[in-house]
Amino acid sequence: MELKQKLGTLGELVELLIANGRWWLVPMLAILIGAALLLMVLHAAEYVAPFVYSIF
Amino acid sequence: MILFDSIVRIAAPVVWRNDAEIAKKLEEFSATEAGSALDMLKAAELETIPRLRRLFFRHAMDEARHARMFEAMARATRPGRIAVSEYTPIHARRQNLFANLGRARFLAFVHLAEKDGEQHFRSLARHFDDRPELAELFATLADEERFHVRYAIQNLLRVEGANARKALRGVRVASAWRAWRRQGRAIGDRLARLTLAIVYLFVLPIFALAQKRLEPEKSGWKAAPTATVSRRQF
Amino acid sequence: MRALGISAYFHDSAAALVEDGVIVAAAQEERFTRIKHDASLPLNAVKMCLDTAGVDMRSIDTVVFYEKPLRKFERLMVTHLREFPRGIGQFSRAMGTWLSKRLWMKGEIARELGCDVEKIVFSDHHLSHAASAFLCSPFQRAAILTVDGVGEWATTSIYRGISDADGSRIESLGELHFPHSIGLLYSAITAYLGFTVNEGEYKVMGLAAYGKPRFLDEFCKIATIAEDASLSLDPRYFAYAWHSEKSFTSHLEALLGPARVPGTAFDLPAPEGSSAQRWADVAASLQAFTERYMLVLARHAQKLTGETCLAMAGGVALNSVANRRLMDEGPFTELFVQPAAGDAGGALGAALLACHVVDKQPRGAPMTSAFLGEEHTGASVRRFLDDCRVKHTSFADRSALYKEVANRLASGEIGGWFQGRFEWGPRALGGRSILADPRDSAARERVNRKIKFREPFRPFAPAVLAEEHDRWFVPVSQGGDHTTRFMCSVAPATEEARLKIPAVVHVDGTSRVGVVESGPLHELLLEFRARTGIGVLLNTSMNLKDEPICGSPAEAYGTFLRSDLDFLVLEDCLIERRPKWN
Repeated sequence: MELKQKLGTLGELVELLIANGRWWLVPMLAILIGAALLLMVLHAAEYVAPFVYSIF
Repeated sequence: MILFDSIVRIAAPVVWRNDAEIAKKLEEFSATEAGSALDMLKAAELETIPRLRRLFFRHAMDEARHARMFEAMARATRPGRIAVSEYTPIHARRQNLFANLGRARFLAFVHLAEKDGEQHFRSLARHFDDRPELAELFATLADEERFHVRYAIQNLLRVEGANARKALRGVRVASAWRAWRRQGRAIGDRLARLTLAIVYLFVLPIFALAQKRLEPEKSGWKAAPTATVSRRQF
Repeated sequence: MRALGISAYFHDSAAALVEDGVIVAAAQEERFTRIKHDASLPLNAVKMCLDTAGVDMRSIDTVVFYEKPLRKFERLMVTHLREFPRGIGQFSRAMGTWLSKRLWMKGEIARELGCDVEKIVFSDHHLSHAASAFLCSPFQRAAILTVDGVGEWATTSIYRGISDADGSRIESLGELHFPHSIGLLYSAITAYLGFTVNEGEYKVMGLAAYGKPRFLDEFCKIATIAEDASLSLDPRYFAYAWHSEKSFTSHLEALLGPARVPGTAFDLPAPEGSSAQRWADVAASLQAFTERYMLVLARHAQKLTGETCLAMAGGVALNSVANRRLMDEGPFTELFVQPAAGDAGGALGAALLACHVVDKQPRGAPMTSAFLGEEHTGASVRRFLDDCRVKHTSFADRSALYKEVANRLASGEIGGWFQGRFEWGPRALGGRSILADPRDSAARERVNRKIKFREPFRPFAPAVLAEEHDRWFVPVSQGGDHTTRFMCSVAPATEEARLKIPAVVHVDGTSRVGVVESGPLHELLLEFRARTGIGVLLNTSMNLKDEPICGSPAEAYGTFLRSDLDFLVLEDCLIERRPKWN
């Protein structure tokens, strides 16, 4: 269920970028999601944990 | 306890090495005590058993007094220090412990935390045998913490009976797990930043070039997007 | 229909519950967690809203998040590309947060609130602000201006709002995009003056009164106002687009002089040529530029919409000095500012949008009270004090309480005043206030030094009986004023005010007025007037510096413990003198 939601979110993000004429950002998004997956794998090993920052 | 005392005594000459550091540490202690006061006040408000409300409230008043005592000693140790000035209240951070832990674990937490505090203050009282005013401060506070240690365990036993041990164990385990997670987060932080820094340096340049070519920046009024309230996140 | 509005994850998270068009409850999360500007999901505020309505999440028809997160993420990506190769630090920090948490907030909201994910909808940031202003106002049609730092992309937006038999509509007429933002300009200069962003802007407004706008030409170099009222900031002077901590560059310091190091003490009035005077002049110049821009913007909005009434929201709408100028010199005859005009207000706007714009429910009465927070009954307070054996006097007769407090205030005491539900928004309006005699300048000094621990140049505001307003303060020169009820504008003080109530008149002769029309504070003011002939009190919020305003009796008591207050009133109980802690 959660995976379906996340995939749905990614789908919306791609749709947004294309709708705004920013199709060329889709590959960059793919790379960022790849980086996120890598970090999730490291987190699952239990010796790293999610990090939270505040921006601005 | 002996181990704890030894660690404190070994670290103390470094941590409390001069008047400036002493004043700074005393201010930190003041802030911690003030934070505890706010937590105890909130516990007194949320608690429904009158006896416990009274005890939590008294504990809050003790902590508030301790905060002022530390603040006064910090000022006396380093009179010119700007942080402890007339325009600075004792900044206190409440942790909402009672709401987060519930009655039993809260009492267990108070017992264990005050026990650690008492031991710490006694060790420091011994360390400062050449500074009678500091030795007396820490000795006095250690004696007062003793009451907190006792009432917390007495009431934990009264409230929880045989489950008191479970509550104490739960707090110890949670504390250790929190420390572990803190370390894990710190490591995860660094790994994540490194990974994203690599992405920034090696992936972004080509997209930055594309962005500058395809989207020259323009100021001025723009039309708002048409979507309003919807399930869509854009 | 029950709509729960949520703002979170940026700063000032909040929740608001609207039931069939009626605002049931609203609160900022910081009041519960005691973390200033808490940005976490407002679970405590949500609980308070549900408890006030006597419902649970199953009874909520829709959960409305106040902005569109994916558009915000898009802005982040595009901005980092624009600013490349600057911003590696901000990129890794911000992307980390978004990739691990914020992109997946829909699931987190559903999980944490315990609601069906299908119930969650998303509004637009500025649209939420616009709804919070228009749908709380007394206007059936109005121009709406939303002006803040930045939402998804928009920094400034113009709308037209119409409510009629077909429901309510809020139509967008244009927006300015990041990084061109009057709100971010104000924040950058706030940081330049050594104050904390999203916190220190009020201080800058107070500081401006001590200076002269001699840097106005310099401000016109760094920010250009075009003929169509759009604003354009010169990026050489600002770093907020690419630096996570700094908002300005060395170019700004070359233009305006060295920035103030945070924490540097200074006294005002300051000698000519001193750094302190220069900082005051910079603040005055910023304020003058902001007022100039807001007037231009208002004229443009009036031309676009043809409306006579204006509703405003967004953080810049909390600039009470600019609001007064808009009322006196602007093209609109009436102005309404929603009391929580900052990001927290977006939660309320989101919920109201769902009711009135989406569901087409007819509008109810306008917002005339900001007391939307948590209440603690007299009985619960008495039980708390009795159980804790706190010495107090309980007043069964409320009028006796008001007389007692009025006597104490008139004799120079300063007291905490805790009554009923706490306020929605950053202002204390008599729910969680510290009160003092405005006749005594020494009282102001004492409140600043020993109670609020604030910088000495910060002014205090008056709470005034509605019927006495014109005696002490100059009313607006045209049309209706819907701002003084929520302390959203300043007014010039009359000569009598300057002489008789100096503690609440700022150095430039103005005051941020709070008009009181009803409730316990109104009764207290009447008693105070009976003793002194003056229906005004010095009114400041019940909190210490850098802490959120108190919510519950425990927090009020904590403030009482750590400050020099002479007494504390909790509902109908009076506690006198600080407990002896030494």
